[in-house]
Amino acid sequence: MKMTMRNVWGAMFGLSLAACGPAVEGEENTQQQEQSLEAGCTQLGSTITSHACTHANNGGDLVAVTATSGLTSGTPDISTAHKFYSVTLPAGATGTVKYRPSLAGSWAFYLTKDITVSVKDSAGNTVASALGHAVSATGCALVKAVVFDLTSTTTDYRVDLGSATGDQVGVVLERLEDSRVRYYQDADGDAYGNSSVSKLTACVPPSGYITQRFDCNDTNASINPAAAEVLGNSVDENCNGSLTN
Amino acid sequence: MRLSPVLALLTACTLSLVACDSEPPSPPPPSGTDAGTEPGADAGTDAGTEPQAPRTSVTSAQPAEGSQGLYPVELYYDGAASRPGVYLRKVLSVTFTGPMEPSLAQVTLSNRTDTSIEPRPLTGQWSSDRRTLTVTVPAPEEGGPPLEASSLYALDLTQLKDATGYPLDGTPVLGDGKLDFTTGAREALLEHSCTHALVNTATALDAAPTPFAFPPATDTGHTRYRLTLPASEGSFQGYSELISAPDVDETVTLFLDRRVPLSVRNDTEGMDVPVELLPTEPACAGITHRARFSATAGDLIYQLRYGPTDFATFEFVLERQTK
Repeated sequence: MKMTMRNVWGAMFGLSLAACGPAVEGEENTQQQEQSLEAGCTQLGSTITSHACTHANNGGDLVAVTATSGLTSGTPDISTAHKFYSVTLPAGATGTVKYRPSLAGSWAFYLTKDITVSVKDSAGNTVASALGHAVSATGCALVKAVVFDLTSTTTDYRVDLGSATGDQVGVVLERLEDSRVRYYQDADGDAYGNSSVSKLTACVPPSGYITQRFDCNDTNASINPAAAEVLGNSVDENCNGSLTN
Repeated sequence: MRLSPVLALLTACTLSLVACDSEPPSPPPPSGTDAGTEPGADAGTDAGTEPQAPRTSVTSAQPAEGSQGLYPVELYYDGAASRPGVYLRKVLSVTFTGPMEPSLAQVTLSNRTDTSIEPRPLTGQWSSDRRTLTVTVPAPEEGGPPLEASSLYALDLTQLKDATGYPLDGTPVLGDGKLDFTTGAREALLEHSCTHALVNTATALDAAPTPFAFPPATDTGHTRYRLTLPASEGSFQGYSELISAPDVDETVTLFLDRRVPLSVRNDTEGMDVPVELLPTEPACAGITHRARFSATAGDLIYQLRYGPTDFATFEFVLERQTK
């Protein structure tokens, strides 16, 4: 990881504040390759999926389009994020739509049907999916998510969908980088994480990671901000920086 | 020859033109002429020779006549829709000097910037005192917003009549019987946040009384937070925190349900951060102000201090945008 002066300052201040509890020293895995799905991501997290479901369930976000057979002048565009595109496909066949991301990054195509999605760039090169899996969320019509790393914001990607039963499929597009959540390692299982070991991700966090930080000793479950301070010893049980309260 | 009583009555009615007529008087000539401008005046008799009461006219409107920059849409939650969710509408209202004929509530909305758009007939709702007409402009069935952005509109009120059946005097306030206004631009992020304010279940958190009392994280984008501030010397104030992204600079915006004083400190680098706190356009219930600041890449800790306020609990939707 390249350390900038900002990082250096951040690390120094983080170290100086670590004893007081509220400090973050940096990520365990801060260096992500630009516009690539983060390493170790095997499934999208509940936050981004819940967000996609919000738009899939919201009547006001519904946009109906009719896909074409291959790329034509009439191929519809589905480029607006946070919308629920109801795409009508050609009868019993694959349908084509266009997509141009507003920002480069890893884009999740959430779908209401378990169909094939293929993406090609403007030169006709196939973009391999970076991740794909089933989705299951209560009260949500989305059943599948496929992630593509898309780099061009100035040209359209060709997206082929289908075929699908009923010749229709719903699509919600979300950028992973916009829905990341920070998780902290909780090695001692006391529901407080280590401020110094965190991961910012839109994916399911590693096992043993939680969203609550401030554990000043992540190797002892009796030491955390919710613990009662024991007076007369040399341990800051409640992580408040004091041995007397 | 002596007239029978019935014939005498018919003759009298014919001569006087008005005495036996239970219908409202005939509409007077258009505004700008003298005859018939007084409600109850007898057309063709002595109009103009007696003091004339002013005809009913518009006293105020929302938007005001000639106003500019009207936000073109309102997002609202419709739980009774076939697909419950957030939809678009725009509510306009006009208030009159006197009671109006409640059976007449149709007005016509015209887009004068894009004349290819057909004028829309709309039916308003009268208030109980029949002095205020509320017109809800729905999104067109064929799609699109209720009002287009950056467009000149005219709401034609000339089909309305007052309680005695006279047409509206369109000259005061309106000039021509039409409410003219211009819409402004729409803001995608604000409207997106409105969806979360109207649909999401709020995440309830207690703010910390000090920066060292383990302030809760309020840093997940697209999240609706409900924050309760601790009491402090007769008012309320408290802290939460946000940690910046490792790899990108961001703009952080809190879309607030009321005006809440907010100060932000980059605790990692020991610097106060400028915060822009402004009212938002009236795009939806639940968002009235926005507080915006920059968060620099590098996993930096930002302390957010709220208050002092005279209320303990408020809500906001947090949005993070890559710069």
